[in-house]
Amino acid sequence: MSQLQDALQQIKDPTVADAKTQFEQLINEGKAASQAFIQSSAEQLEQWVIDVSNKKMSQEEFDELVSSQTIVAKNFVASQAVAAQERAEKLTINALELAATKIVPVLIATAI
Amino acid sequence: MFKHFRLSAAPCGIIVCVITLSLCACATMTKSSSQVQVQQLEAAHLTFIDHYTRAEGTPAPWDQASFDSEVAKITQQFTEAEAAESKAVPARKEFIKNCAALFQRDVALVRKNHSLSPSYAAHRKKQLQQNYNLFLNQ
Repeated sequence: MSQLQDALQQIKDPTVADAKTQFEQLINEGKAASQAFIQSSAEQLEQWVIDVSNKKMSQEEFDELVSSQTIVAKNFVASQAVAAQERAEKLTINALELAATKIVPVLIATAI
Repeated sequence: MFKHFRLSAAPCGIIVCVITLSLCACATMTKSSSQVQVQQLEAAHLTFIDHYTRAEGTPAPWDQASFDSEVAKITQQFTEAEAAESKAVPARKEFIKNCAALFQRDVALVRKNHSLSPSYAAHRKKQLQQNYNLFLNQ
């Protein structure tokens, strides 16, 4: 079992079950992407979630990384051809939003 | 024979040195001043993060004056870099503006907590390198 799955297993709240599945799918799809930026973004986001779950990083620091990565990802998405923009946005910005709004707040509440 | 060798080897050595130096100079000059400035901004931000990363379990002593002075110096670097960018390429100006905003976010975090966790610092540095590479690899 991966470290991310270990972290996500701590979340027992059934109301975020779909979000957990969706998040895992986005991370896996991002890591398999051919573009280095998307791949690296997915790997980084995965590691941030793992570090928050292991209390190596505070939620404030996690939120800071997510907000900043959204700025960086917007630069990247804007540099893509129009046809590729939607997928790039889904695998970067949408994954970041999902982690910040649905996954990590519940993960931290579970750990307390 | 050795005398002849030495005489002919010396100019050859000088010629090789001159060619090498010329190639280095060309390589340096082909890198635009804008790129060099952006690399300096990246280095300044990364150094700032290193400076305020706490070692495990040991909070560093806080020096407000030194912090303010360092922030002012780097902020000035960002302001100058943004001003130096031509209006003809708005994307570059916007990029430096975004980089300055990322720096100010770290300033706010350090001002509040007086330090950054080693884990955050490592992730942040990787994120910044990814951001700057977007610009520098264009």
